[in-house]
Amino acid sequence: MAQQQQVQVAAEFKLVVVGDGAVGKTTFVKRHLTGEFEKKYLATQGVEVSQVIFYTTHGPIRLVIWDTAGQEKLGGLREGYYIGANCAIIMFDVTSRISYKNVPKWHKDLTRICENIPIVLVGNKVDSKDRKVKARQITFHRKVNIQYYDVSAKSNYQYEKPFLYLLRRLANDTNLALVQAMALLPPEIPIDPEYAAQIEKERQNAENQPLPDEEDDEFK
Amino acid sequence: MYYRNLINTDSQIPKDSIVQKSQLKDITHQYKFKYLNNFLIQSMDPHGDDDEQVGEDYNPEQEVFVGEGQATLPQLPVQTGEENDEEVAKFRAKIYRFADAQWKERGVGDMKFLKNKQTNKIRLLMRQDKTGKLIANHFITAQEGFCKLSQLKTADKSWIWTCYDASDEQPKVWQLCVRFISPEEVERFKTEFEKAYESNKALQEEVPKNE
Repeated sequence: MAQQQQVQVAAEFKLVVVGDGAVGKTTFVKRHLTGEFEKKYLATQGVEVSQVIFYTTHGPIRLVIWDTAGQEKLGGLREGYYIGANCAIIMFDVTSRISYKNVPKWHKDLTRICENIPIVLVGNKVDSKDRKVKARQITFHRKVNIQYYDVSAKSNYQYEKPFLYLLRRLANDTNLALVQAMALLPPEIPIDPEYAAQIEKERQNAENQPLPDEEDDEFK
Repeated sequence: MYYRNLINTDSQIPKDSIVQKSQLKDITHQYKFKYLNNFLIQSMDPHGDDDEQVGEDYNPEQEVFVGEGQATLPQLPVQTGEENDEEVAKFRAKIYRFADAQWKERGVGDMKFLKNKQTNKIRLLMRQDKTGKLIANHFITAQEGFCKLSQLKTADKSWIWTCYDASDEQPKVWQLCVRFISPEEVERFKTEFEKAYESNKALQEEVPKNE
């Protein structure tokens, strides 16, 4: 009964995420993977690969996300990770001018390996009061004809937009939209008394732990 | 300034290629022109070195779509998986999961209690706003250790319970926590949840009698 519910996908694509260290690439990916917002900074070493399924008007599409290291000394195979990518996200941090200044370098490295793939430039942390890179200063993407979005992994502002854009490009249809995921009837499992006792212990522990964002009530 | 122009323009020269003399002349000419042009723009621009000449209504997010011709993926009918379900209750909520010894946000969206038309069994289903992704999907089962509500000691307006949840591709036993905005919703959730629990329990007890 406890078997995996393997989703039949209409297509699968490789997505690489690049950009300077600490701009929020891993946090942004995690937000889509599990919903959590990771506050701690732990530099990615080399690359972290994960999968996210998006449910669209053109069927479920699996994106295999290659979240690469931004810090130069942890770069691993660097451009080696770009090989075979079908699309890419270049991310910078709107509170860090230098991370925006480095965007052309990331774009150049990327397009040297992957010619003509859909790319979206993303300015993260727009929830911050300390924004340094203003809207009218973000112009690089127009020179190379790629899409741009403001996002915030923290507040979830436009967090689905970069993916939606890339999926539209990959399906070559501007009308592609995200839809409700297929919700099969969930399986059940038997529980023995020993396991039930263990669950009870875990529940008592969980009861005493704080929620990550208790003060924010903005979900009407 | 000059260095930036070099970065912007040198994409035209593959890194290790041999550049013909005539090409070099062209490129040098471009550099000169760009440099002069940018210098003029900059000297007129009061906003400093980063601002390009863009209008007041400049929108960097303007959509660019370079595709043309037929879609490479065909459009398909949407199946929600709720076709045989009837909605019993609905809540606006935020949900969390307990992982790595801490509560982690799972998402915000509409939480629904759905009764299956064939079996009458009630499940809890929740999808994330905007992406439509599943963030909770489990039956409210009457099993020892499962689906018993208790309150978090660290926060108001919330309930926690344990269940076998299938919102990820791999189903797993999870502790979930739901949080509401109003105290009324907190109470309504408890009432509906316990009603569903009792209803599923009654179905479970019925089965042996029918056999």
